[in-house]
Amino acid sequence: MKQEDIIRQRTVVTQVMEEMRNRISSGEYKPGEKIPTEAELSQMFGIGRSSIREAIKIFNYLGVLKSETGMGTRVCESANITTKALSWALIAGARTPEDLLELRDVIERQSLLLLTRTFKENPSGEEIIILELQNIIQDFRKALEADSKKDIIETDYRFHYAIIRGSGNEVFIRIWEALRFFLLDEIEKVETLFPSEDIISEHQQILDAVMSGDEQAVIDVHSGHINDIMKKLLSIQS
Amino acid sequence: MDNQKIYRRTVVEQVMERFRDLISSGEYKTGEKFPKESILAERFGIGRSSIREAVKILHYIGVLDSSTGRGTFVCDWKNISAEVLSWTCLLGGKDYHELMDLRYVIEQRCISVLTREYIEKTGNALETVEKLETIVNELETAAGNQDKQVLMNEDFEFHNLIIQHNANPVFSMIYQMLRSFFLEVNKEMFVQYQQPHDIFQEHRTILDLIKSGDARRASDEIFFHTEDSKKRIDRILARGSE
Repeated sequence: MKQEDIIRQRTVVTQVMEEMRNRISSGEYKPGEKIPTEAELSQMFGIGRSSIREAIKIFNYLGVLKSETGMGTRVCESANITTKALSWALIAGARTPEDLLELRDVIERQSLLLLTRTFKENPSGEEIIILELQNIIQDFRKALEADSKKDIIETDYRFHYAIIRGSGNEVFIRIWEALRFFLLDEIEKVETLFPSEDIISEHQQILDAVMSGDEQAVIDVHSGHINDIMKKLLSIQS
Repeated sequence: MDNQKIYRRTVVEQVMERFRDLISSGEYKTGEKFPKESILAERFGIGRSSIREAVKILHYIGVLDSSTGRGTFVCDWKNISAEVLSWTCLLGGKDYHELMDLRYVIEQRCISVLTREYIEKTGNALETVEKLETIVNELETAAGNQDKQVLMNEDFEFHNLIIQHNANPVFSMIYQMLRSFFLEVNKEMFVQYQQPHDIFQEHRTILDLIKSGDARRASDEIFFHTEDSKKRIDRILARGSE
């Protein structure tokens, strides 16, 4: 396909997306409801089916529409597009480790507090995340016994990732995933230069605080953990 | 866990993840040219059409720019269109609440930092608090004049100043993005802004708490404000679907 044709087609797809957006915005297509078929849309907009198909695919990815074979395409009832855009923005910007660590800090602390509260109100409901965290601490043991730095790093990442998933906040989770590279890098640097003998008790402390239901204790333990990392990161840089 | 969805990830989603890693690892930076389709297809062992789709999506979001015809470039985060962000309001859902929670945790941190520095008299906390005083006075005047435009602007300035004081560009970026988003949302939903006098009073209270060194209660105020806003939006969304 010639370059000019590619550009033209992309603009057409954008037009289709704008038109779809208008119809959803006006209430003509409502969340949860089916939209017209590809063929119908093609005729309505006077635009080729391939452009319609492209637009629908993009919207599927963005979580605005959901197409299922044999069931047509529906307007989604909530979209995670904003969180996707946010996490992409995070990736596309220049940032220092300390700045990203501060972002990790606030998101992780909130996730821990949410987990602490819901565990307190409903211990059996949150059991799955708590059990997962306990299992991951066992994995630390195995990694130490195998003397595998790679496994230690991976286990550390998984522990904190589980906490964020426990928040149930999709925005937090997406941001965490966007920070994946930075986080793995940070864990590796710190673990390499300051191998932790207490890595198990460090993480056990966090879990114990959550299960105790004492929010201040959770904040204190977590702040200690983050400040420790921050100190080590800064000393590595100097 | 119930809210952990199990689904087969599409090829395009997997490609998006690889793209994410390419950019976040720094292999391809803002302003740099992204590799050609054919190269990426070979590298990932995936068909060119999947690569092309992923590029189109990122072009729509504003992360990549392939409009010049001279190749595909990695954009700066500021290119991410506010329109894209505003989709959430059209569809409702808990995304909105979650974004407000993100804004809240950032504000809470920044308020703690400012309060601590003000009490310890470090950094330029004194200067920042003086500026906040000026803003609160503007809010009082604007409330008296029922000037909604000034109220909105000064309200934003108040929070923005606190965020900027912390000097974390990542926080500033997220805050700015969320601001564009919330402005779009307010436009779309014709959100009733609070009573002018309440707006002034709220910020007066927060500033007084900062000056008294009570970071805890200052961030509690922000928390209540956030929860109130969520309820207000929920009511509007509920009314809209009737």
